[in-house]
Amino acid sequence: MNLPRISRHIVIIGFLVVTCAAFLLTVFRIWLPLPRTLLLFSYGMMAPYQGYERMNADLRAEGQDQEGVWQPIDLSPYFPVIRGEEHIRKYYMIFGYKHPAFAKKLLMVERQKGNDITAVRLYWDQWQPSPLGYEALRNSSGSYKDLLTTVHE
Amino acid sequence: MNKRLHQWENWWCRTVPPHSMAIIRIAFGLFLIVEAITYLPAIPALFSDHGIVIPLWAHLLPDSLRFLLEPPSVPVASIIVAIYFLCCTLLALGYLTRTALIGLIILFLYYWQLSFHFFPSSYHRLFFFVLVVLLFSRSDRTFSLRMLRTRGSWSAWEPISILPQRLLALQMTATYIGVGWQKMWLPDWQSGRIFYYSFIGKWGSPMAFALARILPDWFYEVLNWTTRVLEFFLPFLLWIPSWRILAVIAGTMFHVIIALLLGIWWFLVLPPMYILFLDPEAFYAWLRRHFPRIAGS
Repeated sequence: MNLPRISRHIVIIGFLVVTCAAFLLTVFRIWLPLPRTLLLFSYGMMAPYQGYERMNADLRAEGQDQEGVWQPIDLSPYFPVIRGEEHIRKYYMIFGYKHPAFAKKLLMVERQKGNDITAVRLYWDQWQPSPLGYEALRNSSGSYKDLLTTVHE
Repeated sequence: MNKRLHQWENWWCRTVPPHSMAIIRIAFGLFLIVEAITYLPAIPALFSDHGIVIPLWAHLLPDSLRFLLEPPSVPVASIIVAIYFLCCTLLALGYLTRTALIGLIILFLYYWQLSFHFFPSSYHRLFFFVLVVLLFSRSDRTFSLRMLRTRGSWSAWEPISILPQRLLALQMTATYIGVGWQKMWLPDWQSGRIFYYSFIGKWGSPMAFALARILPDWFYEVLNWTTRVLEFFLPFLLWIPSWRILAVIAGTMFHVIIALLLGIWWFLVLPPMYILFLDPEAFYAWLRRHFPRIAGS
């Protein structure tokens, strides 16, 4: 066996082992002792759309002005993507506990833009979905709002 | 034993005409260009210091090198995007292909750590896998500027290993099998409500919301069963010549409907890649029959 041939077969066997292990993880939730990064990468290629959310959700920001009044901050310029991607970006930012860093940067960027605020707070709003529109029931009685963080100057 | 080994070698490692992989290269390069165009308006917000960008790996670098992974200014971010477009174009043209692919892999990792780690999707992982496999595929051995410059004809060709094609085809098979089989037990997939809630959820398009207002409950149950049956059988039918056309039509419709109703359009890259399931020699013979100007061996 020459070297290229050995290399090819290492690639083939390696690919098959990792893919089979990822398949076991995907379908049976069985973890084999393989490098986690490799396994999760392969798993990630075969595991989209496993479920759905019962509640719609969105990140909401408010800035405190010099009089101490909290004003809404429009976050849409910071997420110029389609709604599904926007939601996932916001969700993973909170899931990865990056929202305090986001709030700090938001305060800084908003001040640079001339918005005279001294603090920023972030909320995670959740509400019932409706066929009338994504935000149709956002402010209904069944909705709730979780304060995530508050940062000051 | 020897016969089995020979079959194994033949299936995985024989040399074949490069046309299937060349078409994958062109289609994938063009797809990346389209995807990049959709992100052009987002350059300042997602990839520069003008937005709120939180890089993933910058803190791992020493202070003096951290600027490499921190969000750059808008002009620098635009130059990096221009390089990305150049690499995609070179990939589609099949010129300096390996350099372009190395550039795309580096830029893919760069954008991942800069912004897309907040949007970790299956298609991003698939795209990265395709880029890595293409790097070793010699897919520019036909339908390329490289062949036009070196051999005087864009359709001149040199044989390549079938291994990259097999890896991509098997990965697609694994993806469909994994996606399809896990739906047999995933709790959310045991009723049609997943479709109703998806139509009126974060991914729902205006068309999906409109449908959700008029469709009866039983329709979502039918949709659920149709999807599960399709995803269960599709990866096998794509390998069986007599069922392949049906599988290609069904798979294409499936991805088009997902794009229209849920806005998840990135998987539209998969139907052109069904070409991977064709025998490369048979595909080349088919090309020669229908396009006689394509160069012979």
